Amino acid sequence: MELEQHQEGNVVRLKILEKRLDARSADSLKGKIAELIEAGNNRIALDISEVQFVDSSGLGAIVSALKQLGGKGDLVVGGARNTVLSMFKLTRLDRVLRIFERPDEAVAALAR
Amino acid sequence: MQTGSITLTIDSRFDNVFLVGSAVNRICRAIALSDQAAYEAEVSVVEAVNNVIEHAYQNEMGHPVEVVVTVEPDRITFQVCDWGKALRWNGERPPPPVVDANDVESLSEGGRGLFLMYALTDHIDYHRANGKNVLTLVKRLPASGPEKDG
Repeated sequence: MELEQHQEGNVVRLKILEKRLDARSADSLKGKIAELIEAGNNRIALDISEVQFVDSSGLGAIVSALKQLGGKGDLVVGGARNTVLSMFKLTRLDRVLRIFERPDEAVAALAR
Repeated sequence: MQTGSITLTIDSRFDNVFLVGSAVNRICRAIALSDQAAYEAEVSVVEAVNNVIEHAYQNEMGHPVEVVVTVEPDRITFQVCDWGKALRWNGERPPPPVVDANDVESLSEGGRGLFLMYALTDHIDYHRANGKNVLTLVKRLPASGPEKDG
């Protein structure tokens, strides 16, 4: 999976550069986030503004990341378009995950 | 409106599923479904195809997954067909996922696929006959006004 990573203060902005977060790409995202957490990054802002499609595997990868952090850090999401956002709402993941309209807001929320 | 049927076939590999998903989305938009409704149809079919690859074919490539898309005046139907292992199917609608904001550990990583299929379609059915498994997903089309002559 193609990703772009930027360190912004104590926050890692991880941008997904692919259009689909699905069964093909989910494991790769999971692996990348695990790597970041192992390296001591525990504030991750996931920029999904390029993502046009997410299915249950993609949602599962984000849940996995949240669980890996185990309350010792935070992961937030920014830039979800309406169709993608509707999947988070339908599966109620918006109750455990902070989702921001713009990626910059997601980064700012963690930078405090 | 125009009606008709098309059969889309892919090999049982996750990296081919986007082909079926994208075609389904485009067909839905061609029959004037909203972007949201087209997206929902795409997710439900993708979940069904993923299930076939993972469960019916146990992640083994080299098997056909067939999706028959049928457009009728009041509905669009997707029949997702495979010749692998039958699913355990009780026809019961799965409950919405339990999400406790104070207990992230209890969240499940998987198990949302069937819930999404039910939530995003109007009718769902599964049967097996002569070694062929068919999962049928139906999405009703919004009623349109009476067609005018000429």
